[in-house]
Amino acid sequence: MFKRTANVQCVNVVSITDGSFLNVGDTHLGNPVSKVIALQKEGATFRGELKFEDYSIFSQKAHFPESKTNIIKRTFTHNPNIYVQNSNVMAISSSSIFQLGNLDKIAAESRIKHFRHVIIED
Amino acid sequence: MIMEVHNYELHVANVQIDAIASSSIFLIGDNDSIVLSSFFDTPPESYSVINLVPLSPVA
Repeated sequence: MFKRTANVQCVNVVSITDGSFLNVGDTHLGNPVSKVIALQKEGATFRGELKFEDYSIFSQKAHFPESKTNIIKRTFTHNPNIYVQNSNVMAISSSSIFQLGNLDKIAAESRIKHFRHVIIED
Repeated sequence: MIMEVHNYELHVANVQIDAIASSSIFLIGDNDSIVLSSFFDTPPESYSVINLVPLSPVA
Protein backbone atom coordinates (compact mmCIF):
# COMPACT_ATOMS: atom_id res chain seq x y z
CA MET A 1 0.00 0.00 0.00
CA PHE A 2 1.55 3.31 -1.03
CA LYS A 3 2.58 5.34 2.02
CA ARG A 4 3.11 9.07 2.28
CA THR A 5 6.12 10.88 3.67
CA ALA A 6 5.84 13.17 6.69
CA ASN A 7 7.98 16.32 6.43
CA VAL A 8 8.13 17.92 9.87
CA GLN A 9 10.22 21.08 10.32
CA CYS A 10 10.33 21.36 14.09
CA VAL A 11 9.34 19.03 16.94
CA ASN A 12 9.38 20.29 20.52
CA VAL A 13 8.74 17.71 23.25
CA VAL A 14 9.24 18.48 26.94
CA SER A 15 8.97 15.05 28.57
CA ILE A 16 8.68 11.42 27.49
CA THR A 17 8.08 9.06 30.45
CA ASP A 18 6.70 5.66 31.49
CA GLY A 19 7.32 3.49 28.46
CA SER A 20 6.46 6.08 25.84
CA PHE A 21 8.46 7.02 22.78
CA LEU A 22 8.89 9.51 20.01
CA ASN A 23 9.20 7.43 16.85
CA VAL A 24 10.66 8.88 13.66
CA GLY A 25 10.21 6.60 10.66
CA ASP A 26 7.78 3.82 9.77
CA THR A 27 6.42 1.19 12.09
CA HIS A 28 4.35 -1.87 11.23
CA LEU A 29 2.66 -2.73 14.53
CA GLY A 30 2.15 -0.66 17.68
CA ASN A 31 0.71 -2.38 20.75
CA PRO A 32 0.92 -0.01 23.74
CA VAL A 33 -0.53 -1.41 26.99
CA SER A 34 -0.73 0.59 30.20
CA LYS A 35 -1.94 -0.53 33.64
CA VAL A 36 -2.26 2.27 36.20
CA ILE A 37 -3.40 2.48 39.81
CA ALA A 38 -3.82 6.14 40.78
CA LEU A 39 -3.82 6.61 44.55
CA GLN A 40 -4.55 10.03 46.07
CA LYS A 41 -4.04 9.68 49.77
CA GLU A 42 -3.73 11.84 52.88
CA GLY A 43 -1.20 10.67 55.42
CA ALA A 44 1.59 8.22 54.93
CA THR A 45 1.71 5.96 51.91
CA PHE A 46 3.30 2.54 51.98
CA ARG A 47 5.04 0.84 49.04
CA GLY A 48 3.15 -2.15 47.63
CA GLU A 49 -0.09 -1.12 49.29
CA LEU A 50 -2.23 -1.72 46.20
CA LYS A 51 -1.45 -4.62 43.90
CA PHE A 52 -2.65 -5.23 40.34
CA GLU A 53 -3.66 -8.84 41.14
CA ASP A 54 -6.17 -7.69 43.76
CA TYR A 55 -8.45 -5.97 41.26
CA SER A 56 -10.41 -7.58 38.48
CA ILE A 57 -10.14 -4.58 36.16
CA PHE A 58 -6.56 -5.61 35.34
CA SER A 59 -7.46 -9.19 34.45
CA GLN A 60 -10.66 -8.64 32.49
CA LYS A 61 -10.40 -9.71 28.87
CA ALA A 62 -10.66 -6.88 26.35
CA HIS A 63 -13.23 -7.98 23.77
CA PHE A 64 -12.01 -6.43 20.56
CA PRO A 65 -14.33 -6.44 17.52
CA GLU A 66 -13.60 -9.34 15.16
CA SER A 67 -10.88 -8.00 12.89
CA LYS A 68 -12.36 -9.17 9.54
CA THR A 69 -14.05 -5.94 8.40
CA ASN A 70 -15.60 -6.06 4.93
CA ILE A 71 -14.49 -2.54 3.96
CA ILE A 72 -12.70 -2.05 0.66
CA LYS A 73 -10.53 1.04 0.91
CA ARG A 74 -9.01 2.48 -2.26
CA THR A 75 -6.46 5.24 -1.74
CA PHE A 76 -5.34 7.57 -4.54
CA THR A 77 -2.29 9.56 -3.47
CA HIS A 78 -1.89 12.58 -5.76
CA ASN A 79 0.74 14.19 -3.52
CA PRO A 80 2.68 11.78 -1.29
CA ASN A 81 3.70 14.43 1.25
CA ILE A 82 2.47 15.60 4.64
CA TYR A 83 3.94 18.93 5.75
CA VAL A 84 3.93 20.02 9.41
CA GLN A 85 5.73 23.25 10.32
CA ASN A 86 6.11 22.82 14.06
CA SER A 87 4.56 20.57 16.63
CA ASN A 88 4.86 21.27 20.35
CA VAL A 89 4.03 18.51 22.80
CA MET A 90 4.32 19.02 26.55
CA ALA A 91 4.19 15.45 27.79
CA ILE A 92 4.06 11.91 26.40
CA SER A 93 3.47 9.39 29.18
CA SER A 94 2.21 5.90 30.20
CA SER A 95 3.00 3.94 27.05
CA SER A 96 2.00 6.46 24.45
CA ILE A 97 3.50 6.92 20.99
CA PHE A 98 4.29 10.07 19.05
CA GLN A 99 4.88 8.73 15.54
CA LEU A 100 6.46 10.80 12.78
CA GLY A 101 5.84 8.54 9.81
CA ASN A 102 3.58 5.62 9.12
CA LEU A 103 2.16 3.27 11.73
CA ASP A 104 0.24 0.48 10.06
CA LYS A 105 -1.51 -1.40 12.84
CA ILE A 106 -2.33 -0.15 16.32
CA ALA A 107 -3.82 -2.23 19.13
CA ALA A 108 -3.78 -0.01 22.22
CA GLU A 109 -5.02 -0.94 25.69
CA SER A 110 -5.17 1.13 28.86
CA ARG A 111 -6.49 0.15 32.31
CA ILE A 112 -6.73 2.78 35.07
CA LYS A 113 -8.10 2.45 38.58
CA HIS A 114 -8.44 5.42 40.93
CA PHE A 115 -8.32 5.50 44.74
CA ARG A 116 -8.81 8.43 47.10
CA HIS A 117 -8.13 7.94 50.82
CA VAL A 118 -9.08 10.96 52.89
CA ILE A 119 -8.50 11.27 56.65
CA ILE A 120 -11.34 12.74 58.73
CA GLU A 121 -10.39 15.99 60.50
CA ASP A 122 -11.91 15.40 63.97
CA MET B 1 -18.65 -0.70 1.94
CA ILE B 2 -16.19 0.86 -0.49
CA MET B 3 -14.18 3.78 0.77
CA GLU B 4 -12.22 5.88 -1.69
CA VAL B 5 -9.56 8.27 -0.38
CA HIS B 6 -7.92 10.97 -2.48
CA ASN B 7 -4.84 12.47 -0.82
CA TYR B 8 -3.77 15.89 -2.06
CA GLU B 9 -1.40 18.37 -0.46
CA LEU B 10 -1.63 18.26 3.35
CA HIS B 11 -0.15 21.27 5.19
CA VAL B 12 -0.35 21.83 8.93
CA ALA B 13 1.27 24.96 10.36
CA ASN B 14 1.24 24.48 14.13
CA VAL B 15 0.33 21.67 16.47
CA GLN B 16 0.07 22.38 20.21
CA ILE B 17 -0.59 19.40 22.47
CA ASP B 18 -0.50 19.38 26.26
CA ALA B 19 -0.33 15.67 26.90
CA ILE B 20 -0.44 12.35 25.06
CA ALA B 21 -1.17 9.87 27.84
CA SER B 22 -2.38 6.34 28.65
CA SER B 23 -1.74 4.43 25.44
CA SER B 24 -2.65 7.29 23.17
CA ILE B 25 -1.06 7.86 19.79
CA PHE B 26 -0.27 11.07 17.93
CA LEU B 27 0.41 10.02 14.35
CA ILE B 28 1.71 12.20 11.54
CA GLY B 29 1.47 9.75 8.66
CA ASP B 30 -0.62 6.90 7.28
CA ASN B 31 -2.36 4.10 9.11
CA ASP B 32 -4.30 0.95 8.24
CA SER B 33 -6.09 -0.24 11.35
CA ILE B 34 -6.55 1.07 14.88
CA VAL B 35 -8.12 -1.00 17.66
CA LEU B 36 -8.42 0.71 21.05
CA SER B 37 -9.58 -0.66 24.39
CA SER B 38 -9.79 1.21 27.63
CA PHE B 39 -10.84 0.23 31.17
CA PHE B 40 -11.51 2.98 33.66
CA ASP B 41 -12.70 2.39 37.19
CA THR B 42 -13.62 4.90 39.88
CA PRO B 43 -16.25 3.11 41.94
CA PRO B 44 -17.82 4.87 44.94
CA GLU B 45 -15.95 2.62 47.34
CA SER B 46 -12.68 3.80 45.88
CA TYR B 47 -13.27 7.00 47.84
CA SER B 48 -12.81 5.97 51.43
CA VAL B 49 -12.71 8.28 54.41
CA ILE B 50 -10.53 6.76 57.12
CA ASN B 51 -10.00 8.08 60.59
CA LEU B 52 -6.67 6.48 61.33
CA VAL B 53 -3.68 5.69 59.18
CA PRO B 54 -3.98 1.99 58.24
CA LEU B 55 -0.88 0.07 59.41
CA SER B 56 -1.41 -2.94 57.19
CA PRO B 57 -2.18 -2.31 53.49
CA VAL B 58 -5.88 -1.86 52.84
CA ALA B 59 -7.11 -5.03 51.07
